[in-house]
Amino acid sequence: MIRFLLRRLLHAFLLVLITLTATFFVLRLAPGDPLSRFYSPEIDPKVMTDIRHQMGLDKPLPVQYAKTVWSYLRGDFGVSISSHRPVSDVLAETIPRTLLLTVSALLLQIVLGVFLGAVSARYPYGVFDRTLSVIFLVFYSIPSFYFAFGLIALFSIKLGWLPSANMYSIPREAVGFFPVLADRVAHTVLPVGVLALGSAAALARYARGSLLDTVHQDFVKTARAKGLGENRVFWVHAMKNALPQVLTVVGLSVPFLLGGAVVIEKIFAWPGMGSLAVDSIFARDYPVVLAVNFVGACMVILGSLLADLSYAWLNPRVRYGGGGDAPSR
Amino acid sequence: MAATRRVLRYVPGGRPGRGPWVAAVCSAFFYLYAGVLVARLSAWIDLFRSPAPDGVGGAVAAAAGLVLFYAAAVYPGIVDERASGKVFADRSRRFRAHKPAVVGLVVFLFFLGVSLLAPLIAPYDPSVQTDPAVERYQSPSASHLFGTDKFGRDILSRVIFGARVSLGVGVSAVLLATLLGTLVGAASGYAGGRVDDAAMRVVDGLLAFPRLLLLLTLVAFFANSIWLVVAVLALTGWMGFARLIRAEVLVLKESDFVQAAVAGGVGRGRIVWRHLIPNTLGTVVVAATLRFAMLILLESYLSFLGLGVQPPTPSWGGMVFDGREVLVAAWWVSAFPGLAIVGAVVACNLVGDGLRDALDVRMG
Repeated sequence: MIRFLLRRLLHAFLLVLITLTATFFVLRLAPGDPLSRFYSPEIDPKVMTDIRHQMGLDKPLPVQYAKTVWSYLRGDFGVSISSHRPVSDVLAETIPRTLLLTVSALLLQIVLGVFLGAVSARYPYGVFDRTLSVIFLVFYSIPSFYFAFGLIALFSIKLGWLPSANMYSIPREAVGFFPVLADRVAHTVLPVGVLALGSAAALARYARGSLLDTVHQDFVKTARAKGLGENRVFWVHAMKNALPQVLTVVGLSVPFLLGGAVVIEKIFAWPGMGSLAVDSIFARDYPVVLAVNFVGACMVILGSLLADLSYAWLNPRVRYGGGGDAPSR
Repeated sequence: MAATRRVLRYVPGGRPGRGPWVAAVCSAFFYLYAGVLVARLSAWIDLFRSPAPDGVGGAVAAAAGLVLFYAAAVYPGIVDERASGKVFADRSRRFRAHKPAVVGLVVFLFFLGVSLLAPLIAPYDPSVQTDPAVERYQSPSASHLFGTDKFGRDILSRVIFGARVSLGVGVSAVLLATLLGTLVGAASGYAGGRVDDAAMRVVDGLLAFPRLLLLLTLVAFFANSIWLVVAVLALTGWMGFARLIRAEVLVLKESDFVQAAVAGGVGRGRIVWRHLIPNTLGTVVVAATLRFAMLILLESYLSFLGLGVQPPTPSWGGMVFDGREVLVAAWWVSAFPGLAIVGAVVACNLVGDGLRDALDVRMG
């Protein structure tokens, strides 16, 4: 198990390195100049050369690359061109906010998706299943911004129940603990809901398929033959066997959650990593863009690493090199 | 048996690189370079700057490619002269047994027809801004079935022309991604050994990128042209196809007819092209349909954020964005383009599911 873990960690580390390299070169090779925002007719060319030298942009590209990798290894992500603050500070502020959204959405997605998928599979092709399948398909096909707009129109504008922007309306120093808490929660409901429901639909479809396959396997027939009630057979035995594969798929859906967060954060003015990504991309703030892409890729790699590890933990055959029923990899 | 195994073990032109990781790194750089090349080309060849899905030529070419692709997969007579018409009748019956799939197909063909005939059926010119004082934000009425937007432009016409962009981008990107993924997957699966290992490591690595972030970065930093969007969507989407095809090829490799062909002296390239790939078309077509649905969604995300098509060319995502200030007051500005997106994506998903059952494909 330890060897498996170490091997996967090494793979992950190398993958992260490759990601950093690829992003760095893509950004640098793109047309446009990191310093374009400083240009103006009155500026003395000598000042531009000085700035360029100060930022280390006049060195050859491979040297810049090496320096970037070295500073990343030490945890130094550079300084933002637009805000002049260290990028690590900016990241430290924004990442927790995004994590709040993504992790809540992930949990909600797992609970909702697995449960609804299981309910569908319990009585396949029955009334529940057919209606739920239609609902899943629709939610799976709605672009999240459209869904968000719909919810905002209904809950924020028409009904006024939930706020539609920012993380809070009541400053922390104000009245009592509960109003502040309620306010914070109210601000989280819509963004998390939008993020979770779309991916929950996808997960439910997959869980339903996976459970239906599991139910046809021999061990289920054995359990029934032993005289166990259908409910126990399904919810205890079949679920426990179908769950690992479903959870692995959850790990693979982390990239989509991150991507979805970008649009959601922009719509709900949620000051997290997604907003930061969009703003810095449009402002051509190279250090921040590089850092954000890097962190994003790291989170994805971490997600799939966790998924692999949890699958290996649950299915010992995978650890020792056997294929087992591993998902097609 | 051993003799056949040796023949099947194909190593292209000499020793593979020192260890799969070196190969993976080199492939990553090549991929990067290819991407930059595409972007530079698209900026240099001014032709590519114009949103070609607007042109009739581009739309017809895309539609023709789509028809050929599906025909090849569904009608076995195209790839195998000896196949009987009975197989097609069988598949067609299975597909038609799914009512939702048939509905989806009809809806999709409707969208396709609308996008091809756009200039003929749109009641107004989508970019003309009429007198704002009079026409802006008119609710749906007899003269403007979907209402008008902030500038007095007819929403129905804009939705119709927007179909061109969404479908055009989706079709082009999916065909490109399928091509790339099939070639890489088939070659890698057939080659086996260290080449296969290296290629799959690269594919897994590329799958690790959060796609939307990468799309944003690439499209915003390079030229904001529609062909770049197509190229980037294809370049970030081919990996799924490669894995799928590779899995199929690994199974097919061991089957009787392939081994017979090898024993009969058929060359490696011909085996891949003539024997392996046609048998994977079923899987490919289902994956392509489902991927197409996802690409329509992705394109709408991009145009929502302002990347890809530029105003005044209408695009569904961009139109939804335009209506954000008047979500309740002028709901029709965002509602109808959004409905178009949902409709197209649902239709494609339904067709994909129906095809999966009709062609009896195991998606794994």
